[in-house]
Amino acid sequence: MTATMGFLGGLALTVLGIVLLRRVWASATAPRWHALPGWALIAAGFAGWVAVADADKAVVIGFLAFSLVGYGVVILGRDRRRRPHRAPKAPVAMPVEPGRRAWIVFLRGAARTLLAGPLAAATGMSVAALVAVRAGGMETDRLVAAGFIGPIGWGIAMTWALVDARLARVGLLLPLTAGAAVAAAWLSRV
Amino acid sequence: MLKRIAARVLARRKADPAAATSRARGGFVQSSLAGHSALGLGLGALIYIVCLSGAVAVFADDLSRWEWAGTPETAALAPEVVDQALAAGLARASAQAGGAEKVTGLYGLLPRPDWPHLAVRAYTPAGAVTWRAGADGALADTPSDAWTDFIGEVHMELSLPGVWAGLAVGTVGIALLSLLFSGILAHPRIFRDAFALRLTGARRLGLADLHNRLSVWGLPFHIAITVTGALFALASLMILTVAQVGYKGDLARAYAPLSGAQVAADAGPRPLPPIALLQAQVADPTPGAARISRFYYVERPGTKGQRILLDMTRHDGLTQGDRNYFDGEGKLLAPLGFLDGPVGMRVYGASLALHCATYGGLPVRLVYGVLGLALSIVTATGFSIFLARRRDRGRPLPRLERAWAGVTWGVPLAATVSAAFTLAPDLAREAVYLWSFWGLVAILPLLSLAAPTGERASRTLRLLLGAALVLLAGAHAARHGTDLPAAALVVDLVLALAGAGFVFSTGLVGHRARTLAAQANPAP
Repeated sequence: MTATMGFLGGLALTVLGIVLLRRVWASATAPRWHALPGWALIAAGFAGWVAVADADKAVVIGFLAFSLVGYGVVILGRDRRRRPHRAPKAPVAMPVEPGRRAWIVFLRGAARTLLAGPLAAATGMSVAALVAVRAGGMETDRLVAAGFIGPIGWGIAMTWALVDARLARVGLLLPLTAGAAVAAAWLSRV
Repeated sequence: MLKRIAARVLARRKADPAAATSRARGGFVQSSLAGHSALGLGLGALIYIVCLSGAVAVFADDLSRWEWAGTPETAALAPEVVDQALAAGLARASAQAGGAEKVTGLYGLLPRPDWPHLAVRAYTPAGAVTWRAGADGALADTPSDAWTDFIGEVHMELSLPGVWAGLAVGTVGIALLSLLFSGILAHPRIFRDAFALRLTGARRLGLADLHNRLSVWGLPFHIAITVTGALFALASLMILTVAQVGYKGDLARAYAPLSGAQVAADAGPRPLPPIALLQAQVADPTPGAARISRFYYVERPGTKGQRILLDMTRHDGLTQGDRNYFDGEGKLLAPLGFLDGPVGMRVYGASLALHCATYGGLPVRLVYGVLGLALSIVTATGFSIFLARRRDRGRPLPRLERAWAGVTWGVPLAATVSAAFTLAPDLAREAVYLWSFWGLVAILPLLSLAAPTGERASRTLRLLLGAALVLLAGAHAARHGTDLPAAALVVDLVLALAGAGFVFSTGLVGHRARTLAAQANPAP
């Protein structure tokens, strides 16, 4: 009975919260803080999920419900107006960047690939090794924390290398970070 | 004249710092979008294969029951029957490998309500060999290769060997994580527009809305699955790095805290201990929780130095059970600590459950299927948006449009064709699955180049996919007839309905669909 009530309560609060967010975000003039009650309802929904399952499982179920309800509200509220299909535009000549030759573009692309791939990987792995060796706490906890930090660090480094227009900045800081992390881990190796 | 214009521009910049900030922001968004596009174009096909195979692999239990529909189901077997099956598997593997010492591992997949079968798998230098057991626990005479396992390997290893598998899938996972990050950076209004879905207008607008809505609402799940997936794929590589940097190259020392209680190798012969003896020693701190052993694994089986791992559930949380280690005589050494161990080990156990959907039963697997499919659609539409944008700007890439249609619809078609070989016992082999799947994944995009447009390639492949799914379901149901278990029948119905949906979507059925298809733009 408690589980059923918790399930229904969690679901109802999540639906209400997302519907409220939709109303606020649909208004061009509504200030951002008007979305807070919607978020609060969604957060309160997690209390309902805790009645259904243990806290760890309840949090995951809450997020799954959030995604599913979000999809449902989007599909139900989709724009159904028929619009005419526009004809493709006429060809547009792409602006040529002044002074940028093909081989410079190629070199920048190659450098960015190198930074986002192997160098970002090296940075993520180095920071993970540093956490595994030097962070406090039990060895098992450090190793598992390193296991998460490695991929996340690599992902962030890859994103940075791909979105930063100043390649030199990335090219300088990524190897520096990786080198510093390896050196610090090396100095306190066990 | 030019000097005057330049002076006016400079004066405007000085007078309006907000405009300069806006321009800088616009530049950042542009470069984020460029990075997002480049990464998606570079690795889109591999990301799509990993995501789609993952969305299928989450139903491994259900598909396995479908695949093994000819084998009688049994939700529970007496422990002595399981012991006999494991001993029989070890004896057969020893005979095939030329000695017990050549069998490096013995794996037992034990019956449980979600998967009412017993299978024994032995690992030898020549590879793994699996035997299914009947309802009486007797192993089949001939070994079998499961298509469900093959799809799992596509997801986890892209069918690559050794460390390359982890590196490739790990890199794909990191790229997906980076795409999730850069996608947020490249779309400043992605949260404000979180409810806009316009599928009836311009094709590019519809694709972009679908791409952004599916990604933003699925974001918590997509990030969690991607991070945990990358963690498991890169685990070997990371532990190697940590060992080199922090443990003076001692891999065993670095790996020890994560690998459970150890047993010294001893080649002297010793039979496998009874499974009931192992189960009886596992503590039960949660009275009333189901106590089910889902699998059993023995290193160096049949020797005095055998190390036994027995999974046993005893909790109805995210983490359902622990991995208990026993020595060669069957004496409990220690659990790995998924439920009661250090925080790190509990987080690791929860991550495994979170990624593999081993909690919550079929409802959770269905939600994972929807969200996993959504991630696959996000990947496919991301590439298609790039192609549609090029076409809208009058600079189409018709070959790439056709090839991408070949990837998008070719991968599920290849999976369906490879699954069809499970119906022919002589062809139900891993090599057949491997060559049929990857062969079609490589060939279909090339064959699609012969189509006049990307849209035509897409429709043809959808028609083939729909027909293949309906035929597969029909042939499977016809082969097993009235003996078909209910779970397998449900899978057949889902396959047939999905197939009918794909056929319907091509516009060959129904007047309204034909009209819509005729209006569609020539892009995949």
